[in-house]
Amino acid sequence: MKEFLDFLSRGKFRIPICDNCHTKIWPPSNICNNCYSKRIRMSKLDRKGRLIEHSESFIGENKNLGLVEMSGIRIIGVLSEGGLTPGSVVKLKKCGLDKNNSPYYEFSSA
Amino acid sequence: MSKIAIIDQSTSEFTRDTSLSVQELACDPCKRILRNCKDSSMKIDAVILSTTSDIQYGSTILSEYLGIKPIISQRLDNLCNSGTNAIVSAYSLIKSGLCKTALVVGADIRETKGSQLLWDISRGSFTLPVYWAALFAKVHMRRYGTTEEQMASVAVKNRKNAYLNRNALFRKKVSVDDVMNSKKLVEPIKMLDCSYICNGASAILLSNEEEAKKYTDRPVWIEGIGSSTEAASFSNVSSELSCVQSTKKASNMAFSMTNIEREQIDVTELHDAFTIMEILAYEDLGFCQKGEGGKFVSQNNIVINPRGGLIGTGHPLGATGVAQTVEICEQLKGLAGKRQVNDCKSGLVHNMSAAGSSSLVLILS
Repeated sequence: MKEFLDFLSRGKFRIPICDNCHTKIWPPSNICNNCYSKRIRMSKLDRKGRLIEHSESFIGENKNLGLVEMSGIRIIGVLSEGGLTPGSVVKLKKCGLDKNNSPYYEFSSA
Repeated sequence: MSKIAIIDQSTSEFTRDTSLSVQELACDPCKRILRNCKDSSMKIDAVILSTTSDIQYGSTILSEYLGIKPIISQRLDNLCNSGTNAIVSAYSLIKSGLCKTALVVGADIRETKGSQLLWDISRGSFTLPVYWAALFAKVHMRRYGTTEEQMASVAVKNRKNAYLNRNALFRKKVSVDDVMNSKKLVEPIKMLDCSYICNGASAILLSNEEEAKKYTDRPVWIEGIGSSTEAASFSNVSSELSCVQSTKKASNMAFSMTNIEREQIDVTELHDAFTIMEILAYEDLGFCQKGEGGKFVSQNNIVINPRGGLIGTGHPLGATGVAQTVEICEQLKGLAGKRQVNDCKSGLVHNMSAAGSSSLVLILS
């Protein structure tokens, strides 16, 4: 979805919310997957979330990663600090597009 | 109502390198089947090509390569779960009466675009399947005490089975230590915990009951089909990472269609894309209790992945579900050679796509 990526490229996390039924559409799309309305609005979310599970990647540069539930949506992102455990409250610290134009999300403890 | 049979099956050798196109690869397992068809004066009414590769009207090109003019020609893609979906489409075409026979061919090359899911931006930069596998593993270890050694034992078993399969890519036995000491990719997944995307093709021929009787005295009957599609994104696939919902639903649906009980299954080919996914499948298929999958690796009641599974045989994405079905058919017909399971009457195929976004279960006898 172009609008989502445009916001993301500026470091802003906005997701589409249906104007008609208020469903959060995630992953983002131009059509509501509940009522099929095209009346959607790019909206801010509370950046605080809960870490569901985490791991460590040794592919390329070593990275801690985690699955986070944030305002009812789930995202896999980089964990910028160690010591976080499942259930930890985290916040979306940074987001954007990397050099390959792929989305990235970075979480830290809240 | 007429039953649907699998009346012939064939698979090619799975390889790391090939100079062939997907359609050319797909021809290989079809040759022997089509020679048998000529001998039986059997016409192929449908050709369904299962592949995740980015090719245009591949089933029609394949039909032309094979010199046949089917009524229906379709290409099907549902990631790693394409093969059994193609089988169900063929089953439906025959069951409807539109076709009497259908050739299902699965084929893929190592460079297929199906190996990464770029649409799902909820995964951020973690697009490789190994990341979701690691998250499933971590949850199972934390909740149920599943160990890395138990996961390694899955790879040891499947590599040992693949040793007896001349079409398998990995015919070298490995030990638990080998797996544990292999390169760590994403905690706790190591290199030898993973299947390897490769080149390969497999084919099966389905027919109605009447045609089956003309062709063979050893048909394999499709007794149960179960399928479930949960979501395309990892974020919506399951609220629980300790199980694969689509597999649970598909399994229950397949067993509700037949009188065959889980205890009667003699042989199973299940979708071990990663060792942890085999452990989860034991539980989600209902072969053991939730949380007992790690211990179930060492059981001897059901023979699991006798051809070597995806880990031992290799994983040509669009061909995998068909190759799994070929193995179960050969087992049920007593044609599995050194891998033959004794007194084999009922078998199960479990095929799955990315993180359990969809699963399909076939019960055969």
